[in-house]
Amino acid sequence: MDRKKFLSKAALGTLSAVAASSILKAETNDNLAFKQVGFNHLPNKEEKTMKTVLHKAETRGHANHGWLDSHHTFSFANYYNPERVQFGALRVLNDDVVAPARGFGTHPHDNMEIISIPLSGDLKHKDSMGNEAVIKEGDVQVMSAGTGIFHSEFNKNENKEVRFLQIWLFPRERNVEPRYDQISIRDVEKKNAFYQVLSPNKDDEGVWIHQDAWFHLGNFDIGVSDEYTIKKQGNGVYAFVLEGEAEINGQKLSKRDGLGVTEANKITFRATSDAKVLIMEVPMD
Amino acid sequence: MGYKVAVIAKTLSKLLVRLVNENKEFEAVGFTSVDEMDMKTIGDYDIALIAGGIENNDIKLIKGIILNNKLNTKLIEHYGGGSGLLLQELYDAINKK
Repeated sequence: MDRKKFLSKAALGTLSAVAASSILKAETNDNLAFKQVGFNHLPNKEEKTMKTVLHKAETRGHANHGWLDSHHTFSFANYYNPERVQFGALRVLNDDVVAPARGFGTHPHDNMEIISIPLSGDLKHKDSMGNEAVIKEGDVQVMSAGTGIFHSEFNKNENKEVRFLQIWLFPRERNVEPRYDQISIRDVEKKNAFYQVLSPNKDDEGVWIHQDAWFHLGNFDIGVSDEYTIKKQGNGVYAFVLEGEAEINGQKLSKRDGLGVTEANKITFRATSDAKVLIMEVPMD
Repeated sequence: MGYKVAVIAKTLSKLLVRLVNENKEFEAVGFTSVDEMDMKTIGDYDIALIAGGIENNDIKLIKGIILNNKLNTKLIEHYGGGSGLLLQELYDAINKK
């Protein structure tokens, strides 16, 4: 509200205090959200009331199928927790370990942005669009499932496991044309600073998806601090600790803990050991 | 008899029907478009599951028929393609009042 409208409403309120009591009540509550600054008593629009949600690693859903050992941060398959269905557009965060030479046979996907981030080992991918590829640590793979695709994912190696994150985001729009992409992030990797690996923009660093989301990775030495500034107002940030320990906005986090932050303009990060972290900024509507 | 599910999906209809029918609680029939389905029968289904390739106009059409005729059919939009979220979406639908 600008100063002119603010004063105007205050004057009207004085003249018709009884008749407009409900409006005044709303105004009063509205103003409580802001901190008074200076002598003009205008609200501080920069003031935000940050909210957080903490998901400790050991509270995740877990399924061990022998060939697949999977931890689910959000409800998935047989793990259902109505309190943990999604964080905005972030619907699935699976932490998968696949046994040597085993994998997911051909299966369908539709209307989902699917991001795979290998943590160790080699994952072989084949899909109905004719793509065949192997992704490994240092790569990021994205599939826009859109109107529908089929694909398979197998551990390429016969003597070691493959570990990877599979992340599903609801798309901005349904029924887009299916697409596949993968990149090496070795070229954009930085030490002791967050670097972008995913965005909504084709020409930006990293892979792109059909959603107003940005992912950043960070590989930090103990004691190093950094900040992440929200790129789109209203978006939330979900931080997931891949290795080590860290503090995000003062919250202590260990390996595979997740912290969701909403109604904030930025988050602060400090590595309390050597640490690797994934930051996922996603729409909350 | 299980909950009757109409699966309407351009590409994945057959596969989704198979996945839904793996669960004894559900009994699914597949259609690859709204045109392929006789809309007069939509009220025979407990759930209409809309998946990939079905346009927004067609979804609005189905919603309109359900609302205007005060049918008990639950309309849900499926995301993900069967693996992982399908059953959760179906259970959410039948648990909604």
